[in-house]
Amino acid sequence: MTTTESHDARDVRLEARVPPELKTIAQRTAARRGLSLSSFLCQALWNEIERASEQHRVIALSVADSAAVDAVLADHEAPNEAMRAAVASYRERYGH
Amino acid sequence: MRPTLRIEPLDETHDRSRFNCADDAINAYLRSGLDRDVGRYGCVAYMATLGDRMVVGFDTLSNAVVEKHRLARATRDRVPGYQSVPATLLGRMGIDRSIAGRGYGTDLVVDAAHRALVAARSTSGSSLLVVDAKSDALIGFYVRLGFTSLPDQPRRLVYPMHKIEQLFSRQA
Repeated sequence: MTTTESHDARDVRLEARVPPELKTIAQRTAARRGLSLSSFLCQALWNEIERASEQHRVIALSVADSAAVDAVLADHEAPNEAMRAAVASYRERYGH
Repeated sequence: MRPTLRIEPLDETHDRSRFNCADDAINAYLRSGLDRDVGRYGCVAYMATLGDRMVVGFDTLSNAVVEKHRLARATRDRVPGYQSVPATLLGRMGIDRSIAGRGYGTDLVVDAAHRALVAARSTSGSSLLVVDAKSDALIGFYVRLGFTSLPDQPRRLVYPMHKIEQLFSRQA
């Protein structure tokens, strides 16, 4: 499995003042997971960003959204021309 | 004809360090957020390359559940037994600026739709492909392909699996 240990020249420093005990705990936890402190903090940041950005696997629908989804599921019209052309071009070049 | 992308699952030979699409959040995600999701089997990531191992495009697919609102039961019988609809989420996608505007984004969407169909038929059921458009400008891109933008969350669009099946069972 790939990890986040691949740093490159574009990486920047992010400074934060934290209580010394918190840094110790973070270092210990990172070490237990086999990660550098940077990688561990990076993942922790992504966890919070994910939470804040509502990138959820459960997609809650309003009444209007639900009706739209029902209509889509019941729609047996042929796919539109743009999609048919996109798939035809894809199949020709990628062979699926 | 433009060169054909090589689209394959993320592995350690892919070089993601120089990927640069129009959306900085997507760039950051590819470089440092994706491994966490892939590492815990939260999504499957496919990388697109052209000749070398430099990533010029990518997308992620994961399982999702679409929860229909309880008050919207009138037409529920069209999906027997479900108020929750099993779905496949095309969560994040990006095309490098160096190859943008040449139809490669469409190739990636079609490739992801094909993979979603294969999984829906063979691995775990899914009635809908859901995409999260990262900008309002991208909504039109998906709508032109026939996706439906949800009225109360227009950046979220859906496409039914039965139409994907139709597209790929059609003789080319």
